[in-house]
Amino acid sequence: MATFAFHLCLIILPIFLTGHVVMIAFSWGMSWPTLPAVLADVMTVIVIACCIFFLVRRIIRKEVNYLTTPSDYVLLLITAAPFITGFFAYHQWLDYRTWITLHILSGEIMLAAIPFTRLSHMLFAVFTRSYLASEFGGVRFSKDW
Amino acid sequence: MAETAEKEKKVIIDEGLDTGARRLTPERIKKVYEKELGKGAMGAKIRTYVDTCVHCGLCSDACHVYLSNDNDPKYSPAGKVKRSLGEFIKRKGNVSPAFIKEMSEIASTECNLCKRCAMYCPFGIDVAYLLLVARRICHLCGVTPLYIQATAHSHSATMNQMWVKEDEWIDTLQWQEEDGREEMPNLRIPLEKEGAEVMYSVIGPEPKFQPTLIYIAAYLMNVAGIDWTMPATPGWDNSDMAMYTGDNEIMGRVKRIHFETAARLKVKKIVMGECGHAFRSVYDMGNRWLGWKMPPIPVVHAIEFYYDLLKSGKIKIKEKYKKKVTLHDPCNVVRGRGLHEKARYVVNQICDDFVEMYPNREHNYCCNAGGGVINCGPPFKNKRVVSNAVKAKQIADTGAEILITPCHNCHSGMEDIISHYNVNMHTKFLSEIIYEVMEKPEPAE
Repeated sequence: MATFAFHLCLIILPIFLTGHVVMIAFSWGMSWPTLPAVLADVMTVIVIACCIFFLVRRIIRKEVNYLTTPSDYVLLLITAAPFITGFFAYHQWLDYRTWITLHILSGEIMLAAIPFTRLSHMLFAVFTRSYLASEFGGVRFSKDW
Repeated sequence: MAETAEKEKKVIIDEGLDTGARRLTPERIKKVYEKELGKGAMGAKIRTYVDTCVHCGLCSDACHVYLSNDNDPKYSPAGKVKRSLGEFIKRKGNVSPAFIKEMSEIASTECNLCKRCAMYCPFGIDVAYLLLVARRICHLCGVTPLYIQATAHSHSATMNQMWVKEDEWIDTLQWQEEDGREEMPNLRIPLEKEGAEVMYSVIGPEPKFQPTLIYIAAYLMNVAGIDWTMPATPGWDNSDMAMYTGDNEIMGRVKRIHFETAARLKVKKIVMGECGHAFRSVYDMGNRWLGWKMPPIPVVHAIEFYYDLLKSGKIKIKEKYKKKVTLHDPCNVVRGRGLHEKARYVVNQICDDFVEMYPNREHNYCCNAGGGVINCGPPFKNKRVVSNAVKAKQIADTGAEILITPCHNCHSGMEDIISHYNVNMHTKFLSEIIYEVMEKPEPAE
């Protein structure tokens, strides 16, 4: 449940956020429908709440804690950072310049980290999942979920 | 409970593991690493799996070993990989022989390769496959548990699992044929009949310990009027313990001779007895190692064969079995071939009082004996039985008297659990019940 909400908001938000689309329209002349401001706020809070949930789960649940390495916490931080800094920047809490810079930096760090860390699951998941699904469904004639 | 498992672990001495580790050098380990996972090796699938695992822990609830050992995280699928293959890869093969010994014990006795975890993983990471790779690495390092390695040697020397000599095989078949003729005078087990429609193959232990199953199969074939044969040469055994030690080369040789025997006899299909791992060997691993996407001669598992016999009316049922039964879903025929509905059809045809266990079908728990674990023998029996408490509870909860296990390993594993946990049940194969309740032709006087 939490991962569904998390991933959905995570992907939809950056693409359909007014603040981002405005910049693309400015640079490339393209634009597309955007999210209403309130909805964007709600989705951001959802992402941040889910990150907190994942953090707590990783600490409390024994079977997850056993598998956890420091990089798991770092990745969670890297993923949460663009949303936290974006939220602060949008609402212009504290110094706007600082927070928008942090937002841009954290966004870049997260994207750059994809090929080098477990965030690569974004790309690999489709393949590993569909491979197993085709093996189970097509060769083994059994459900794989 | 976790302490007992720990204590058992400390006390288990396996000569194969000890000797193998004693003879192992760090240089050999490094060489194996380079060969399997180094530059130029085909390790992409393994690396993708290991890199994609985000340590979410959802696989834990899938595994009977984890659940039976008080949810000890080190027995979760990801935990087992972390302790074995994961560490091996992280240190690029720079590990000690003692580590390889530990890795072999984990991969060979703490996982049955049942693939239930692959269903629970959101990415579909096949943890069973990863532990099979771990077994292969240990095999290449020469560190395997004693009993299963001895079985692999039997495969290597005699092409069957039980050191059955060629004349013993023929003798056993003719003995069962003779016994069968007392019940049905024109019963034949045609040996080496070229051009028959069906070649029937069995697992190694059947002629040695369970010849009645051969008797029953011969009886069914004769009543149903099937045009069948059995080989008189090595290649009759469809079982494959070499597969489970990671010895793919011997697996390939054993499967090749099995298919070549069927090809020599020019049969249309191979029907095999109620075995799980043998099916995996012909349908999933052995055929692919030899380069065949599908088995070159179609292989029909006993469950499907009984389904056909009952559906077509070639075997009729006189009176349904009265005792309350429940059905175990062996991993290799259900998660491995989707035969759960056909099995249920057969059970419903032959039994009056059938109750399901939960979870069932693809989600059924593993017997904890397959995957080569029961074949690691007496040193690990206690650990194995302790690691399947959930199964004991599951079957006891059905309140059934009879547990149907269409797989030899499951059958043996369940019997061990039933006696260890004092569950009031007996195990039976499908064929045993069919034989009891079927319509038998009148013996001609």
